[in-house]
Amino acid sequence: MDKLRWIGTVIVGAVTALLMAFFWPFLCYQMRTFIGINGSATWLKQFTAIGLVGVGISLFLCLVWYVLGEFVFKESATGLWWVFLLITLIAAIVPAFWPGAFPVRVSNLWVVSLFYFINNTVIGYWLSTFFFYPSTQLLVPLGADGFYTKSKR
Amino acid sequence: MSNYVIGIGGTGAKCVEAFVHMVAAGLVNPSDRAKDISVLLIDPDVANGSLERARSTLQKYREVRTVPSVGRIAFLRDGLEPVDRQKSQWAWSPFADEANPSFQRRFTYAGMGVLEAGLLDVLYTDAEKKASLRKGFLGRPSIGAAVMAEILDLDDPDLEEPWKGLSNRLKNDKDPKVFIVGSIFGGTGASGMPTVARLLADFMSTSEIRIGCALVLPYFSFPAPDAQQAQQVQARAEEFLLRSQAALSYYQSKLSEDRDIYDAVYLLGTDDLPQVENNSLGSKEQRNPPHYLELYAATAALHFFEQQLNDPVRTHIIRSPGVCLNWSQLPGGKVTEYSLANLARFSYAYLGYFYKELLNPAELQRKKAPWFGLFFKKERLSEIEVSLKKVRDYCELFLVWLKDTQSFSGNCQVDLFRTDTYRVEADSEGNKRVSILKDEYIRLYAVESSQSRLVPNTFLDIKVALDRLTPEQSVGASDVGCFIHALYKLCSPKKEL
Repeated sequence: MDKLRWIGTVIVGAVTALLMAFFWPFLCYQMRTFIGINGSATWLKQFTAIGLVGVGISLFLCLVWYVLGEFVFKESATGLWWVFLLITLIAAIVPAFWPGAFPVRVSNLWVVSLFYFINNTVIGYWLSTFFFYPSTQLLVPLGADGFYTKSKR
Repeated sequence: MSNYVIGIGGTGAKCVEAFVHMVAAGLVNPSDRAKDISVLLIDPDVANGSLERARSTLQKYREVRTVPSVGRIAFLRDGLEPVDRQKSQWAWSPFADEANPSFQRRFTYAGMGVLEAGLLDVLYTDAEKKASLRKGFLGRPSIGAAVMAEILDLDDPDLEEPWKGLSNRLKNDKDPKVFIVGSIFGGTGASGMPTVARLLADFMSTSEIRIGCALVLPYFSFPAPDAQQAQQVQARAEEFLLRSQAALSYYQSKLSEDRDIYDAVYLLGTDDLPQVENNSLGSKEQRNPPHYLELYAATAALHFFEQQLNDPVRTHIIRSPGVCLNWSQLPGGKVTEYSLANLARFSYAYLGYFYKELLNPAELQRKKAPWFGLFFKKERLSEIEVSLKKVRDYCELFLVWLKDTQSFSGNCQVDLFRTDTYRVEADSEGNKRVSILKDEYIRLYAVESSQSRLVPNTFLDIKVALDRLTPEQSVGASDVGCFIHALYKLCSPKKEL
């Protein structure tokens, strides 16, 4: 069964994609005044498009990590997990501040990064690797050591 | 129903050593698992190297079983206990209280009639009467039989341990089975086996007890004694065959006269008599290497314990397989093969990888090794270390025994394991230590081709398989015990086992 855990990763990827397509744009619209987009449909479309690219990156990294852990690495590869985490972080933060990434400059761009961070880094990467891990990498994700070796014993 | 194993003399002790390893591999029939197996070693030479080795193996076996949760699976599932449970001693010597025993001191002329004294002079030479028996019965069954019969009387209320405990236990047991093993070409075994069997049969009615015995015929020799040794009363290799012939004649007559003593007799022999390195006749130096014939003797014991109460009396003849011994020639078929292979693969993996890794738990934690995180949390490090060392000690003894068994085989090539995959070296204290060649795990035992893809074949394969266990599978009373349990299962040469 553990070899089929990658299916969980794909499901989490699909969920994060749905969230990025519907929930986060809706939240942005609700907070349009605070963010400063004033209901711009173009801005929201760009927000969703960049977010979905981030989701793709997270899903891709999760699957690469899974395949490497399951079929290549026989020891825990802690460094690789952190490198991948860093990539998802960059994918969450950089677009919001990249000149020209959005059609309209807004006042509170950090909120955009926060949404990308929660959706792509926390749910899409961390949560996915935490629960849907290759056996050799069980204790590698942040917090897994304490969770799997103490809470279940 | 309880089972008893009595090993008499150096060969008896070595056969018991082989038996311990067979029991460790889980080869005891499940129906015989009701109680522990009681073990008694009999040897007048308490410092005998072979006796010491068997005693040490029994003790290590017992110590590993003190680790909680060990014994839940095939590995060390069956308890082995000394007959003398009060003092917890495995061995008994008829001269335990005598500093320098001799036949003359035991049988004095005082109190003897003229006829008895004359008979004594006819049967025993002066040299035999005066010779020190500190190193055993000097290859003279006539001396041993007289001494044993004089000391042992199971009906005696003042009987010493372990005989007192043994007689009480036998009386209280329902259908006890006693297996006696020893050589018939030396002094102690040849004299002790018929004497002990007769005493037990006299003590119990034949319907209450089943007695089996394995008579080991000559299977090794030693160099001729030098000029100084030749003057002494001692066992001589050139007399082995003659003595065996005489002993066999005795047993043949006894079996035809009163077969009721023995319920099964196993005769073990080989044409090939490899020479041991020295001709030490006792004490620590008499530490002859294990031989595959002792493995057969151990399977004979297991076979005897499987016999039902109403099974007819049988004599089994086990003969050397010739130029090559492989798995198909060992009794017990695939069960024996898989069980011993499982124990060997486990011992190899444990010593070659896991024990070394576990010696450095901080590094394992740093590396976030899943198997370590899953199994080792509850106990303090020092407690874990003690348990791990107990398992290491037994595994080392087993692998040393395995290598010796395969190498001391004369002209017969023993083709069971590839024991050139590890080295045995003595440490500074003289203890034999196993040095594993890391990448050789797969060569140790030839896994069947249909299984080679299903079972782990390298240390890392096993490690990954351990990593795959879920946290729930690692829960148990003891961290080390659970780990051993899981590792042993993964080292099986067959997936369904």
